[in-house]
Amino acid sequence: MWKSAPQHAGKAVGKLTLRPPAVPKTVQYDPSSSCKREPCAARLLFTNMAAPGVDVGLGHFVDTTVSVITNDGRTIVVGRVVAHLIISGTLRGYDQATNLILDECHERVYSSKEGVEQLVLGLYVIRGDNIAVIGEVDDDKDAAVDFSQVRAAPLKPVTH
Amino acid sequence: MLFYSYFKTLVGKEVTVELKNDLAITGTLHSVDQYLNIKLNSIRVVNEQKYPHMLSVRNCFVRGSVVRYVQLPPGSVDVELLHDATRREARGG
Repeated sequence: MWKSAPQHAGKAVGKLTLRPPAVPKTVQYDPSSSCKREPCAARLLFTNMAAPGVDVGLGHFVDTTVSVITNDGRTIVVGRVVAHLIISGTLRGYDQATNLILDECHERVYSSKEGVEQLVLGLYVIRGDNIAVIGEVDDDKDAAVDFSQVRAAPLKPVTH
Repeated sequence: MLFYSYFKTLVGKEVTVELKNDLAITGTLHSVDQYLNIKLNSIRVVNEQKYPHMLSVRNCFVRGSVVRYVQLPPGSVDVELLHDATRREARGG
């Protein structure tokens, strides 16, 4: 059962005073501040979400080749134990939750017994919470690697 | 937000980020955001023989939710100041 609304709901209670919404203050760690012991107003700065001039988003990854390491281990190739997905592709879009749209994807399946196998995947949307690392691929360096000679165990799945 | 502002003071320093899949990446801290997502420049993977998965990657973005540890350069932490700020935040700013 729903609880009935409180008696004063919808009615004016006492004297209504308008005040601007409270700006949340957060405690900052600021070693440049001179005062050490006593609480000091200069150190209680309002938080600015990003330092100006520093790119914290994923915008600069757009239209570049990226290598994505995902959280989940799963068997991609029949007969191979838990293969960790490494997907490379061209990043087409992203959002706040690090959801990605990747074009021209392929997966690199690492194995300790044989060379890296590349599987063609095409266009993928990856939900942000499955993403561990997004790496900016240096195309020249990537072309120089002979993946048929690379032997490595697949990465472990992320355990929270 | 305390640790967000703390990590912002470490920008430019060399850190090692250990992930929850046991991968450890060393690089120069480029930026950090409110989720403690971390961007590293000129990275190298610790134990590259075992983990050649990021050979061709120079800069990377690490999602905050998969970070297990961030190993900091010694001497870059003012423990007393951080201690003080932590107490103040616990009191409610």
